[in-house]
Parts: sequence; structure tokens; C-alpha cells
Amino acid sequence: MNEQAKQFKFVGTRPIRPDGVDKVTGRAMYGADLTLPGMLEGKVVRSPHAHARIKSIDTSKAEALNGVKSVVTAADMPEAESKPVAAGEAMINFRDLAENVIARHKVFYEGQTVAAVAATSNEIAERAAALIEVEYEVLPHVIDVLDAMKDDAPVLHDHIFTGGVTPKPEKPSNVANRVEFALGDIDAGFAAADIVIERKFTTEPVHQAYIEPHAVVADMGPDGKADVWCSSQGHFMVRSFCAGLLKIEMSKIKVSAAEIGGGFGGKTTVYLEPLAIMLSRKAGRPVRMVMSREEIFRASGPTSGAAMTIKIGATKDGRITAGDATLCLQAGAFPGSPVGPAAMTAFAPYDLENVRVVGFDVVSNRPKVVAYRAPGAPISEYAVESVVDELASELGLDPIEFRAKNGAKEGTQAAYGVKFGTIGMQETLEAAKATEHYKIPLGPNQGRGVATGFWFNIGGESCAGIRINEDGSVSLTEGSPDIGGSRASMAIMAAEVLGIDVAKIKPSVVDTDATGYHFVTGGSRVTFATGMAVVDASKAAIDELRARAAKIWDVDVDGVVWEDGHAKPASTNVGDFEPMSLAEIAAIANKTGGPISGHADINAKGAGPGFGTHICDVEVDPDTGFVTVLRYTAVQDVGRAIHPSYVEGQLQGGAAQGIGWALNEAYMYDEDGKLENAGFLDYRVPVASDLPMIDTILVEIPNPTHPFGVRGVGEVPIIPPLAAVNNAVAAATGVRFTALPLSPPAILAGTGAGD
Amino acid sequence: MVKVALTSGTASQFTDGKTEVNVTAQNVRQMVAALEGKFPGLGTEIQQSMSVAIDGVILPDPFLETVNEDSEIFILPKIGGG
Repeated sequence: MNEQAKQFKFVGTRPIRPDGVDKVTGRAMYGADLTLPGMLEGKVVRSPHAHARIKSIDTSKAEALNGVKSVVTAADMPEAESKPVAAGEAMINFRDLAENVIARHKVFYEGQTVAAVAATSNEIAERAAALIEVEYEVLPHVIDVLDAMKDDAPVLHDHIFTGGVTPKPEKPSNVANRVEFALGDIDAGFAAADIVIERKFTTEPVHQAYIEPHAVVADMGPDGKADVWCSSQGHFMVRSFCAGLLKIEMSKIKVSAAEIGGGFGGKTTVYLEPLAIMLSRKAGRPVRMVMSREEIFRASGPTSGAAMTIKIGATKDGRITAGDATLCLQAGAFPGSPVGPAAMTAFAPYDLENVRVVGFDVVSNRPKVVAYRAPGAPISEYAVESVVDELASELGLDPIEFRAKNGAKEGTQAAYGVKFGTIGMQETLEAAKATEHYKIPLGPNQGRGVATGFWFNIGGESCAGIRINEDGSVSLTEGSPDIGGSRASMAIMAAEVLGIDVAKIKPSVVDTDATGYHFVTGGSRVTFATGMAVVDASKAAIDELRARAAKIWDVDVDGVVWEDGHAKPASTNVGDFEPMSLAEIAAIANKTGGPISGHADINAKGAGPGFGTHICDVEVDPDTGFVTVLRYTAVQDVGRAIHPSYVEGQLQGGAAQGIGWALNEAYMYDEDGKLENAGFLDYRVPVASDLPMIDTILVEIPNPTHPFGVRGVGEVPIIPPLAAVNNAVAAATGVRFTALPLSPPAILAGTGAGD
Repeated sequence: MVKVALTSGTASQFTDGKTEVNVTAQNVRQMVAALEGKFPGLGTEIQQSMSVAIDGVILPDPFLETVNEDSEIFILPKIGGG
């Protein structure tokens, strides 16, 4: 029987999360909390220049300082070969990854690591870092994406020749790659339009702004085996990257995932981990490294900023005839911006016959970007959704009805080629339109904006183990770092399949020696993919429980079924046996064959695409330009909410981060390419007092490929807020803004009130 | 024969602009090998940095999946996430 057709006992309930008490009492161990005997503290020496050649590094004074136990530079790390590896959002080059961990010949952004030191205290390590003398030859730099694309721009890398174009360019440039997606006849589409709107947009790079800093403890013994504890979205990724960078066999590196205080994509790569291993190897003692907030801003990846041109045509009756987009995304110092997914998602919410999206991946002297929830999609969909809203307004159509008329349905061919299966785009629009929020009258200087969002969601490799303990409790093991309450969801799914109380199940995220490879916690994949592994492992355990009952009853295993947590005879023909509970079978497992368990190791396929529709009400102060978010509703097709509280939390968190992206957040550089606002005082993320309650509506259109219908939910909700806020501000002010963030000075400049 | 759809960008690089190409294959491994034989570099590109979507399901690590003349096959960039 398909699990989706059953009535659920635990799926959809809201038990207390298994890690909750530890987190509210301070017992939970985060990356920086571990202390080992003899542990050293590590510090990093960072480039003060945006672009420079390293002429020499003299570490002698630092090494001579009392208390310093090891110093490393790029000379201590093997030269990496040029090899593509998966890194959260995209394939990146292993040579670039190595350069980003520690610079070898050049520095490409202010804050890039050039050396690291370990000492007996933080104070000594800081003094030692200051004693390391690096001689630079400062080079011209470029920060802005469009400036970086100019013919006369300083070229960062001599080996980058624009990919995706033929013939291959004759000279290197900062444009690392070009992508293009097209359907139909774009010219014919625009010719058929009654109205065409074309706008240029810009967005700023924004940081994932996780509260917990990057932190690691590494301990390498004289036998060359390393234990690593770190804050990461993927301890298998950490093992793989460290092994590759340091040329160590994977089996000699054991990585444990500490509790994680936020990642949002930003912890899908390594920064400190290889350095800590190198320092520990050299010192023969464990080393802890923790980034300061300033280091996080200067040296860990934000997502891209962008410059975009969007052109959309429609008929008078509200049918979109063509969409055209050019997207230029900053990659930071090394190639690998999310321009591919940005291009693929730009028009994905719509059923269009004629589409073209061209994207460029552009390097400049900024920190290398790394994934941030739905990498690329908030950027491109912000621009498209802003023009879609303007078209609806110009045509005098309700913005939700306009979107519904053109919205994707089952069978729609997305601009990136694939035909959608069962999706809930239309249902989110209907639910949004039916809200009380959408009907509340607005006052002076107030405006309402609507926007939709699409994200693919992914599957990937996951494993799970179910061990039936002697007393009938269950230990559940898996290896996906729990960022958003996934352990609770795993326990719920196991309980649903096993038919026992969810409180009987203890889920644990175990180390890299204790389970098989897991892809990172990213791509909204864990509840979907690791959840599938948990379901399969639970079913395997049930098969063994049935086999044990069959042995006890001396019947064929086919004569035993599993219902409501009990083994039962399949029919009266099998015999007259009292049902045996899981606990009863477990209690005599030693007599029937030993411990009972179930395991599953999978590469999950069939992640269901996700769609969301958000409504935002704002009030704009005409004198100051300050934008207050009055009301906010996030509607999303979540497939099936395993633990609705955590799904709602994902929607609320995504909306909050998207609002910050729209209103506040930006990197500010001086003329030397140095970041001027590397801290939360000057880089303003929304806090609770800045926001209203984010109302959520969970639409459940089950994903047919998941046993319970799960779709990923963590990324879609950051996509619509940028345009929802932008469209609300347009409605409040009568001005169509085309640059984020919508800061008070920008609002006043747009409305003319600041003149 | 199976029909394979490419993005316009990939097509301009490897297939002289043809966004639909036909090869003989019964699974993805054979399909990629056939594409490499017909359009040098394309198979390598798929293996290193592309996903394959078959009948609407995006497969990040395709290899043994069955394909036939009724399959809807698209070659796409790999998708990750945050």
C-alpha cells in the first residue's frame, strides 16, 4: 500500500524536538565548545589587499615566539590539481578551493588567508599572527560585476577563458562562463505582445549571516589519523575536501558534526578545517580555530550580487508572450556563481512558449561566493517578478490572477527544458488570494506586493540505520547535520512506519566512521532524501521483525504482517497467534538470531519542485524613506509537512532573510577594495522587532515519489520576499525601484523627496 | 534511437546549435558515450558538470538508468542548493 494513501498517526504532528532541551539549557555542543587536553588555539593571517601578488612570507619571528607550536602557509599544503568538485551550489575547481583555503602566489580579495598559526593561547596566537611578515606587490582590483566584465578590467586569473562560447576566446577575462537557455521564438513572442516592459536591475551580495561562526577542532595523531569536529552542513563534504586538499586517505579522517547554529548554504565548503588539520599535524596537538564575525564577513562566502536586464511582453488580455533575461552574477574571487540555477529558475513559475535567458559568471576581487538558500533564484526571480507585477499593474489586472493565468501547471515545460510533474504553483496562488490578508484595506503611504518563487529541490546520497534495542526503544542513526529540526522529522517518519510512539525513537547524527556517505544538508534535501533512507531502513527492520515472529510461531515469514507496531498472522489460515509487539520481539532477540536492525543506503531521486506565493504589506515614511513591513503571509506547497512547526519555521526564516535582502543588506567597499561594514552593527540583518508575525499557509500537494509526499521546503521561502517587498514599495510610493536594498536614502532618491 | 534535448548554450558549444540530437542507447551510460563519440567533448561535459533529466525527473548522478525512444531526456547543469 502506498504510504501516502494511509491516515497518519505521527506524520503531521508536532512533538518536542529531540535536541530541544540540550539547546535551551546550553548542553548542546557547538563547533567552538569542544576542549581537548593540550589543545592549541589557531589564528589566521589575512590579506590586507584586494588584489596582490605574494612576493614573500617570513614566519621566523612568529615561530620564535614563546608558546607558538606551529605555523603553516601554502607551502605546507600540496599543490592542488585543476579538478571539478561538487560544492553545495555548483561544481568548483579543486585548485580554486585550495587557493581559497590558503593563498599560494596571489591574493584575490581582502581577507583571504595567507598563513595560520597555532599557539597555547588566543593572545599568543594573535601576537604571532601579527609577527608574520608578508611582502605584497599590490595589483589593480575590481569589485563591481559590470566593471569586471569590461575589456580594460584588471584580470584576476590568467587561465580563465570564457567557457560556454565558441570559438574559445583568445585572451583571458573575468567572465568565467556563459550559459543560455531558450525555448520557442523570442522575436515572434515579443512581436505578438501588446505591451513590452524592459528594466535593468541590480542586487547586492548578501551574507548568509548564520549566528554561529565557522569553528573547528582538529586533532591529528602521530599515526596520521585525524579527528575533526566542526560546524558544517556536511561532515562528509569536510572529510572529502580535506582529504583531497591534504592528500590524506578518507579513512584516516573522522569528522563529527557539531550542533550547528545556522548555515543557509554558507557552510557547504571548507575554510578553517584543512588549516586546523595542518596546524595540528605540525604541532602534534589538537587545534581549535574559530572565526570572528569580522572574519566571517571578510573571508567567507556571501551569495552573488548581480546586474540584470529583464524584458517581458504580454497581450492586453494578460497572456505573457515572451520573456528575455540577461543575468550577470558575481562569483567572487573564483568562478562558480549560481548563474546556472539563476537562469533556470528565472521564468520557471510560468508557462511560456518563448523564453531566453543568458547568464554570465563573473569573477571580481570579493570573497568567493558560496551557496545561500536557493542559490541564484532569489536574484533572478526578484527581477522577473518585479516586471511581472508591473505588467499586471499596467494591464489593470489583479497580480495573483495574472500570475495564475500564466502560471506553471502539471505538464508545463519549464524554460530549462524539463516538464513539470505534480506541482502546486496554482494552489499557492489560490490560497494566497483566499487569505484575509489579501483583502485588508490599505491606508495612506501603504502598499501591497505579491510575488511567487520556484526552486527545484534535490535528492542525493543518504543513509540510515534503525537499531531495535532490547527494551523496544529504537536508535536511529543518520549523517545529515540537523539545521532545521530534521532529527524530529526522521523520528516521526520512523515512528509512522514502525508503528511505535515517536518518543521511543532517539535520532542521532553520527560521524563519518559510523554511517555511509551523505551529500550536504542543502538543496532542501534532508527530509526528502534522508527521510527516504529512514523509511527504507524502518521497512528493513520490519522485515527482520516479521522474520523473528515467524521463527517464534514456526510459520513462513509470508504468513506474518506488520500492523500498528505488531507482528500479526496474515490470516486465520496461518494460525491463532496473539500479536507480538516490537518490544516483545526485541526482548527475546538474543534467542531468535541476535540484535535486530535495518539499514538503507540510497541515492534519492525524484525530489518534488517547490513553489511559493508571498504577500507583503508595507508602509513607507514619505519624509524619511523608511519602510515598515506591516503584514506578511508566506504560502507554500510543501508536499507533506512531517513536523508542521519546523516547516512553518522554514517559511518564516526564509521570509525574514528575504526581507533583509530587500531592505537592508549590502556590502560596502572603499576605493581600495576593502570591506567597510564587516559586522552586524553596520551590516543590518532584520531582528525580531523589525518584523511583523510572518503568517504561514502550508499547501500540501504530495510529491508522488516520496513515501509520505515530502517536498523540500527550506529554500523556496527566501525567493519571493525580494520582489514582494519591492512590489509593495512600488504600490506605496508609485515608483518602480530596480535596485536592492531599498534603503531609506534609495527610497528618498527614487521618490524625489530627498531632493 | 533516443532523442536528447540540450540547452541552447550547450548546443552552441558542442552540436553546432542543434538543441535536439539522436543517438542509439539503452541506458544513460551508453547515451553519454554515444554523445561523446558524435560530439567530442559533450560526454565529458555531461559527466563533469551536468545532470540528466528523464521524464521530468532530474538525476544528478545518472549512469545506469534506462532510456528509450519514448523518454523525454534533457541535459541540464547540475543543481545543488543551500
